[in-house]
This record gives sequence, structure tokens and C-alpha cells, in this order.
Amino acid sequence: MTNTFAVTGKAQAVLNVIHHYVWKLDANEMDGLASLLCEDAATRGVSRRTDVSWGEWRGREEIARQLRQIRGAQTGRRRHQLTTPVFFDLSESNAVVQVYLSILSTLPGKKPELVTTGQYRFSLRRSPEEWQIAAIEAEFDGKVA
Amino acid sequence: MTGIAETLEMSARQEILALVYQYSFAYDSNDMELLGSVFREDGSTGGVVADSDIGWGPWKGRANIVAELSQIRCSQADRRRHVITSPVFEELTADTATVKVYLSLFSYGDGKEPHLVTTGEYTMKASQRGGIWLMDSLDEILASPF
Repeated sequence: MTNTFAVTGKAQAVLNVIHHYVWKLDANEMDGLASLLCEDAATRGVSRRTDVSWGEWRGREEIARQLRQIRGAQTGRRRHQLTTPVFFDLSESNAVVQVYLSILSTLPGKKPELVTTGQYRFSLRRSPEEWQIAAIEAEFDGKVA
Repeated sequence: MTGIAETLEMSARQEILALVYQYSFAYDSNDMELLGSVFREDGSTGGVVADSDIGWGPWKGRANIVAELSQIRCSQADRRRHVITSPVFEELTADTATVKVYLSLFSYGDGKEPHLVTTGEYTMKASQRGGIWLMDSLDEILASPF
């Protein structure tokens, strides 16, 4: 029989990692973001209904470098808000979770605006010490510039 | 982590997050008894609007917090929803916790359709005494005036 409490505990630990990821992204703390990634992590993404896509970027350092460049070019205070998690896999060593995303941005002196909605699919691996992100597939519903 | 330790940690996380959820619901529904109940007797709260000189508090003491927030809530004729997302536990021991959450503040009523008022973030410090978790402090940074 599955231990429901243990499963829920794992799910919370996984969610804590992906929430950390978006907080680090918003704060442009890319060293901290990189520490959440597996050494061989990969990511790619697409903005639906546009011709914009990115990646696949491979490796912790390369992902941090690319995201630092993008985040550095954005002027607004951004918040990647994650909701509605759905787990497709959750074992002792692997997890796959999909979450909805709302990106909100506020320019100085302006009201916050919804930049886009979308979804992330995170794959994570658990080392003896911690969960780390192995892959991120992003799908945005509109432009993110 | 053993199964028992994992279960205890999960239970603590849920209890701690419930504090900020209760705070949000209590403010929105103007239930100041519930709002006061999430703070420790000597708890504190305050906030700022980023890139501005707007701020409030810090107010110290449960009764003082309730009095100040009640006054603000009663001055708002609309219906508000403090929607909390993306919680991050920055620290969690058997007796203390530091948690950050994102906020989306929506409003409707008073002649307006539902709309986004502002976004923000809370940093909550909580502690456990006698098996009960309560807020020691709740600090807010809003992206724009509310």
C-alpha cells in the first residue's frame, strides 16, 4: 500500500524546489537558481501563437547564463506565480510535475499587468541529499517580452 | 528522512502555510477575530510599496495589529481577495520557520468588475510553542499602491 503521507511529503519537497526556482528567476539570483538544477539539466520553451521559442539549453551553467541575459534585459518587477500542480510521476528518485503559470509584471509607477499565462513541466531527480531539477519544458500562451 | 519525520514535517508545513491562508481570508472577509488568532501575542506586521515612500507599520502586538488592519479594511468598500501562491520555505526547524509567498490581490464590487489591484510578496516568520504554530511577524512588499 502506498504511504499517502510519505507521498505528500515528497510532493511538498518537490514543490518547494520549483517555487524556489521561480523566486530566484524573478530576483535575478542566477547562482542560486543554478544550484537548484542538476549538472546536466536541460530546458526549452515556446510561446504559442508566436514564432518565439528557445533552447534546448543544456547544462546548469548554460541555463543560468541564458536566463541571466534574458532577465537582465527585462525592466519590470516580475513574478512567476505557480498554481494548480499536477504530478505525473512521484517516486523515491524521480518526479514529474506540471504547473500553471501566471507572469505578472510591474513597471515603476505603474499598475501590475498580466504578461502571459502558460505552463511548466518540471522533471526532477533526487540525489541522496536533495531534489534537483533535471528538465524544464515551458509553454507560454503569449509573448513574454 | 524517516517516514515519521517526513510526516511530522509535512504536518508542520501545512500548519504554517495555513496561517497565511487564514490571515488572507480573515482580512478579505473582515473577520478580525480570526486574523488576530494567527499572530502571537507579541507578533508584528508591516509593509512597504516598492519604489515608493509608502509604508505601514510595523505594528506590534496582536490587539494593535487587529485595530490597525480593521481600520483599513473598513475603509475599503470593495470585496478583496488576497490570493497566495508559490510558497517557499527558507527555513524550517522543529520550532521555527521562515516562509515566503507571492500575493495577487484582486478586487471586485463597488461598481467594478473583478480586476488585479496589485501583486506582492509576504515574508512570514512563525514559531511553535506547546505544539501550536503562530506568526511572529508578517512583512509585506507590494509592487504598487493598493
